[in-house]
Amino acid sequence: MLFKSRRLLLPVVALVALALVAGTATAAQSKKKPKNPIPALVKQSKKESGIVVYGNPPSANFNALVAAFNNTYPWIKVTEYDLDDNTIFSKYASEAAQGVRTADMLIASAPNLWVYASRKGYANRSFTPTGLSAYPKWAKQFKGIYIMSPDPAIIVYNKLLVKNPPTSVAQIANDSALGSVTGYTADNTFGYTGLYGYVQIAGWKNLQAIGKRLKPQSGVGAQLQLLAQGGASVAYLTSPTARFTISSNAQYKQILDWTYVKDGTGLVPRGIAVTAHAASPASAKLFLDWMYGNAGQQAMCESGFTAFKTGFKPANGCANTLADVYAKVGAKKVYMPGFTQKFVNARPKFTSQWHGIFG
Amino acid sequence: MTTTTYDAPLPRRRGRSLPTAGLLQWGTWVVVVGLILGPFVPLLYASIRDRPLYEGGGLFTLDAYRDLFSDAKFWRAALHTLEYAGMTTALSVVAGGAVAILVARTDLPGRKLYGRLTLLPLLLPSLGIVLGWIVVWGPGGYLSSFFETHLHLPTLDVNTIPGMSVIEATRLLPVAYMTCEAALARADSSLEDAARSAGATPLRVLRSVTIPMLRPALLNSGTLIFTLCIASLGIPLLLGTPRNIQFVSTYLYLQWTNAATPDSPLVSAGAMLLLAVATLLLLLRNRMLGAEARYVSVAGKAGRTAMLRLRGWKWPLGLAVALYIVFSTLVPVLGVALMSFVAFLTPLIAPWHLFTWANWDILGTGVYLRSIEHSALLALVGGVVTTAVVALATLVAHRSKLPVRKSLPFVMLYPRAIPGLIIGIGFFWAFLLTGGVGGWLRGGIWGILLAFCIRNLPFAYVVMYPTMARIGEELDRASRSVGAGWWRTCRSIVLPLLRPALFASFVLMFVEILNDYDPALFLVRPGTEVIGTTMLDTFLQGFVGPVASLAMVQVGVTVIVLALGTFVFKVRVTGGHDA
Repeated sequence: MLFKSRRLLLPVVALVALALVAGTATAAQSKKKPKNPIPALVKQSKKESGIVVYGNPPSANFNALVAAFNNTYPWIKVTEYDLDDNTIFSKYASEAAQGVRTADMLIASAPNLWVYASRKGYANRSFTPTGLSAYPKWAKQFKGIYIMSPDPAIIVYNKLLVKNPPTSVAQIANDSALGSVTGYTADNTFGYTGLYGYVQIAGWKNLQAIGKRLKPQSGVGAQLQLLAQGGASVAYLTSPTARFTISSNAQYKQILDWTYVKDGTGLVPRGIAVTAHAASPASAKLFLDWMYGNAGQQAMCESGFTAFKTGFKPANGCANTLADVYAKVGAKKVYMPGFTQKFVNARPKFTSQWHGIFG
Repeated sequence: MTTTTYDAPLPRRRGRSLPTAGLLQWGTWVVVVGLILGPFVPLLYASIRDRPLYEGGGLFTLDAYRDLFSDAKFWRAALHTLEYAGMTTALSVVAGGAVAILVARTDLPGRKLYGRLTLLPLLLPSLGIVLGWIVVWGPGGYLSSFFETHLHLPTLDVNTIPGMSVIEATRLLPVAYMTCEAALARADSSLEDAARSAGATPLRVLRSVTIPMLRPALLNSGTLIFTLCIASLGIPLLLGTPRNIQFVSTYLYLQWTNAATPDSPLVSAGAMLLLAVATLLLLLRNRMLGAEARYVSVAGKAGRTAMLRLRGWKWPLGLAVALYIVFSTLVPVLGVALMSFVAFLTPLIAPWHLFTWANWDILGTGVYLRSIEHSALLALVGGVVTTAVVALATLVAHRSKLPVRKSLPFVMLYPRAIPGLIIGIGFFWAFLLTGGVGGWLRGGIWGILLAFCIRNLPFAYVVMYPTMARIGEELDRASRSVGAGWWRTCRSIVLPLLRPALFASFVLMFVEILNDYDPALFLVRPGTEVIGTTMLDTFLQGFVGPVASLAMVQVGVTVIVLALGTFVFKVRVTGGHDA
């Protein structure tokens, strides 16, 4: 006999019944889903007071994105506070706890902090962007926490010093004529993510060969400055926001250029979430929804982020897309870590290995 | 002749003014101590909790301290800090003392000009100057590559502890110089004369009289410089972190930015530890100095300084001081100036091919213009307010009988004992927790002003205290003996005598607030930017040109204000004001 007693049978039946009811309820919900949520959000957004963003994108890049967003939603004013990853979460959490006006949207790259944010319920979990099904699965990391842009780590070099631009870390490692190399240390979150991705594909060998030729700098700004000065001729696995910096500065264009890393490209996921304590949730949801549409992807591409909607081909020859990375590097050479506890836990060991090589 | 002692009952007036004086003294003490300790309270609380202070639940625990002390990296960082602070202190105290002796006691050619120029490194914007150092002396810098490729001479590697110490020492040398110069200016040179007439050689006089006389000044400035080094974040972060040379300040900074969870209690614990170290240092200094009064010199012998003749050493020593000023100040400033007129500075292309006005044009727009306006306003208001408050606090600390007055000299140095960024976090939390007023402060530029004022207040005190010590207390007693109350005495006797120091403090505060940035990093919002935060933000984005032009704006305003102070108000930012 399956059930030892009748006493046990009854609750089980009840549970099954409950599950069935719940099942039909979700079915009913998913049937309802095609109903477009956007008009209601638009209506509500007009009553709200604009979006406050705590984010890590450089303001030059983000402002270009917002200008495009305002073509579609001119009444939504977007104010970005350009902050460090840690400040983003720290500021939001302190303000939310006190119940004062805080961010409606968070944008950050640190995987550890997103894992924490998900656990602590910082994100508004009630909304999924309508176009999300056209994206790779990893576009959704947790309920309400999405990938805004998978930024590939790139190589930047000084055109005056480098005759044959390297397209891989292996080339940088083996061509000692290239001289000094710059880039991030593993202590930097972006640096760690890019390096981790590279090592998963290509191992430590080439990094070991670079060894003492590395003159690391703490930020992409300092790296570009060092490259322009000639203190180093090439930067390994650096931030792709440099693409926008170089293309928007006529003089940098004369002296610096960049390539993808063909022997292993670590993607650095930049996460985005509407916050649980948002004062303008509808406006923030509209931004998220717009970003995952075609207009948003075009704007993302043009403002130096990475468009990654499957099958999306940007107009005007813009090439900042994940498809372009795959085409030039090959899908097998691209690594996407995601916001996982495993990735977070791997950091201390990885960092000490890195310091073992580079000091 | 009758002698009236200070405690003699001179009724009525005194009886009326005492309660007011008491109220004023207590009021000043409460405001100053409250505002300084305000940001430390949330940090202290956060350091003994097991989770960030804004999260519900949680327990009191000392785990953060335990974690800190059991981390090998922390001890390594502490060792580096000790090495760095020790080297910097030694360098700047020895060199600063030497320059002070040369300027105040010898016939060094051009010594008056040197005396003024030596102060510049402290007053110029640190962020801009560090940038200048990197451009000129860093890897691939203008002069370092010139020295290496053309002269085949190795240059000092700025990314090492000695390299960083040299840069920090050139910046802090003026602190030692100021204190020593003030001490020499007020010390009677008849002791030196006596030694000379007894047949001592100039070197012997120096060794046996002048230097021992300077001991309190050296000790004082040494303690301050050591404390400033421990809390210094800018140079270690920009130059040390890339080579994995961590100091306590950068260790805490990296703990804060890289921790798995935001607001690790460990950072707060570290801040408290730095505060404890600073307190210990101050206690140690007091013990070594003995009774404060022992070193208050006799007033009124100014001008009786006989000059030590340098003879053959005149020109070599003059050249050495000139070289110091050229390489520590002029070259980095020229580097920054050049950088502001080119798209970027590289030895690879001649600068005239890269010439542009763009870095200057941009200053008239948006966030740049706003930052300059805010910084100018804050510097002006902050300079006046801080000077007024610190003057009152210094009076209470050294000229009153308030039972708690001895706590003020300590507390007034605290804001410089921990990195500016951490004190900024403390302010942010304090504002958040105090509701209405805090919310108003948090939302606008006035919260940033408060943070800047508190952060830089130690400098105002350091400038004011030596002059105050010079004003003999017999003057107070005379005033009190004819019936004036405490406040009346201060207003009519002490403050007017203190006027040069008040002006000097205003100028110093103006300049420091204009150039400060790290306490504001946590407080700044779109629309409330100041020059320093905009510089850092622009630098991090990779645009160096506007950073250089903003730094030049700071340099320009600083030099103008100093020149105005020197020539119009006859202010000297050294302690040796003529009272």
